[in-house]
Amino acid sequence: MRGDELALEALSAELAQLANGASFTAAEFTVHGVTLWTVARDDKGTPERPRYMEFADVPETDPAALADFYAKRLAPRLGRRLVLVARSRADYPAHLLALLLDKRHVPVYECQTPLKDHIRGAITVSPLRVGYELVVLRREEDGHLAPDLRQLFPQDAYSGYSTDLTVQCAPTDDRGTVFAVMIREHAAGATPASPRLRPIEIQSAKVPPGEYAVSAQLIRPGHVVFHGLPVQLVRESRTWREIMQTVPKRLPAPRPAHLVCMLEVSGPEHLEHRIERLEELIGEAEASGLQLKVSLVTYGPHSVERAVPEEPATVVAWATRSDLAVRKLGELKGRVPAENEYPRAAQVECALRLVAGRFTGRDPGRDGKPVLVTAGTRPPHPDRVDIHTEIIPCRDRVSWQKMFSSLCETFPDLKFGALCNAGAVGNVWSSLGRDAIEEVEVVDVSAFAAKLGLRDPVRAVPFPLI
Amino acid sequence: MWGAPGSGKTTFLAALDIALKRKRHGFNMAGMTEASVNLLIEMTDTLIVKRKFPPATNAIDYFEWELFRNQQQAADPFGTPMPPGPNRITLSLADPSGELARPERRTDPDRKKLIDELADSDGILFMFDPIREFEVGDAFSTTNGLLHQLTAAVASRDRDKFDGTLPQHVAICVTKFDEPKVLATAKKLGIIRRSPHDSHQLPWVHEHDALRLLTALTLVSGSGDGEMLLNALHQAFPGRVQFFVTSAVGFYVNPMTGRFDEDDPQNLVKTAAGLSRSGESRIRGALYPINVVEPILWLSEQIAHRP
Repeated sequence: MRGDELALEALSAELAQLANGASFTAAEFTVHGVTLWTVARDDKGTPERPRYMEFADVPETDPAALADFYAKRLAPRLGRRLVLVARSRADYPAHLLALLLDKRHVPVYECQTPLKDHIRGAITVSPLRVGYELVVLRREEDGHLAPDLRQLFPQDAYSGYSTDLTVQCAPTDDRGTVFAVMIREHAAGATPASPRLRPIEIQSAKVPPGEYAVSAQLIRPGHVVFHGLPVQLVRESRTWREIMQTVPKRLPAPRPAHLVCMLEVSGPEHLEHRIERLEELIGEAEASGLQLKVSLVTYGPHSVERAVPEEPATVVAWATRSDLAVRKLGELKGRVPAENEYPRAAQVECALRLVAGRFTGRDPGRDGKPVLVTAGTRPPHPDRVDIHTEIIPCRDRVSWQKMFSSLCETFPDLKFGALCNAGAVGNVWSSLGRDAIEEVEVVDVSAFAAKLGLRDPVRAVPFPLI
Repeated sequence: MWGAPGSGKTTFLAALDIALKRKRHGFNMAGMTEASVNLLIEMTDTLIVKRKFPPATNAIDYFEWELFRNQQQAADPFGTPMPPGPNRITLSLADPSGELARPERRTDPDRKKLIDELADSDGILFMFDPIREFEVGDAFSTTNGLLHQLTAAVASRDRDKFDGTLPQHVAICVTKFDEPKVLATAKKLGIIRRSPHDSHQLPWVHEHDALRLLTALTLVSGSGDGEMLLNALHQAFPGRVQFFVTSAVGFYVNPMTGRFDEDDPQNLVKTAAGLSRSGESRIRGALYPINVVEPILWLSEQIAHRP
């Protein structure tokens, strides 16, 4: 067996036996002199970052000077437990090694690899002494929040071990959601029901509200990476006590809401702005803790000429999760309009008919309080020739006025919001923006959402929910 | 031809060949010069293939066309009854730029040429654009000056015989019948007709009712001077005026049903975004010219039978 492998094996064996709060030393002889490495476990059993001390001015040949160097400088720093010596170069200070071995009977390994790498390798493959757990909050039926733990890695797990779990991130304030990895300590006063917890690693980030399938991976003892979150976690600066003080006692059941977005996809000029504003609106509603369902209906102009293909109004998504709706919205960016697309109107009337059709025969509040937001500019196609606008009529002779009135009469709770461009014309927009109407370029999305009842005061929840 | 800028003179001519082929009028058309043939092909291509309108005339375009009576069609007992008249109609048409009708162009050499052409002609196709009259209202001002100059030109040819009237027959064409406002006015007056032989059920207005429509349209003239136009034409050409309600592109025929739908009649697609009326228009569907051949046949008949 090569010296490198033996050295790594010896270091791993020493680390496995190393008690919590204890340390050992390893010496490395190189052409530059001597380096002493200290390997330690903290009081929670996690191997600490190795520390080192370099001695470059080793006397070359003078026996008296060498003995003096050993006695006064090196020996006091060898610690109580020197476990091995590694020689990584042929021209190491051989006289000093002989002196050392005369005093301490430790194995010497001929190594090609720096000892630093072997120590790190030993730490990385070191199994956990205690299982790691993630702090979560459990919402009781009466709305009370109770701290709880979800196991991430069992005792003896090695680096590379990963665990999949699903967490719900509730709306937070700027301090974000905390992913706190803890161990249970069976200290005095601790019980299985109320263990004493000790933090291993506390990270946080402002995670958008939503449900996430997360994969927790043990990189090395003391460091866990959470994959599957839309943002990168960073080291949390608050103390554990400060974090715990932010946990609300209760969390009311989220209020369900159903946001139906009608998006005009005509022409490329304002489409991206409309999509971005709708994404922001969905984000606002989500961030305020609503139990949100989102529907997306797209519409462009009717084909009014022989050579232009008809693209009917379409239900792209109905009562789906907001992240899926946002993804569908994103897919619409960069739409290329058909050549000779009719420029003067869009199928508002047919989109309204689709929405009414989806609601008819069902409880429109089934998926939450309904809100219809139309993002567009053009007027609808009239149901018949209009001598004032001269817009070509809807091919299905649908009247937007009838559809709008029908929606209002059938669903009195339905709220209407409009995000239109400055050039939006026609009384259709004052109807579709009955409860809130803003220009898409300058809208304060937060205020717009509030007018439509899509925004509640934020109650920050600092830990993932289960 | 006579008419204000944009009144549809050139488009009217461009639609003539299509009108003859679309409906059995009993006539074929042929260009008599290479230039006339080329113009005919070019204008028809613009309307049918490019689905655009022919460009505006710069000065005066001349067309040498002839219509030949089609004897085989005349014998068809199920076809449209053949109108009486000559077997061969020579059309030496002058299509002037509408700009020449503006009063400020009265000393323009091309205008002088136009006056001479009109004075020498047997019949005049007068284009009245009701949409322009509603929006601009310059039909009287552009016509009145020309009438004075034409009267002077005719008088100068034989001052002793001149009785203060003009000898030409005038077919007054109320153009753009396909525009929703014009159709709506005709509908309001109750003068819309449908032919039982027309499978598309396209609307049209009989010559006898055309004056009623024109009168109604001149009442809403943008300048309020539209009424004077009619009087001026009647005074200048007493007993020699006939009215036609025309459309070069006709109404939209739904390709799914093959029929005209009064809820969706427009055969023009305005291409300007928003509700602006500016910008180009495209032709939406197939062309079904209305009353494009009839004014020419009427003129030829009047000319053939004049004393």
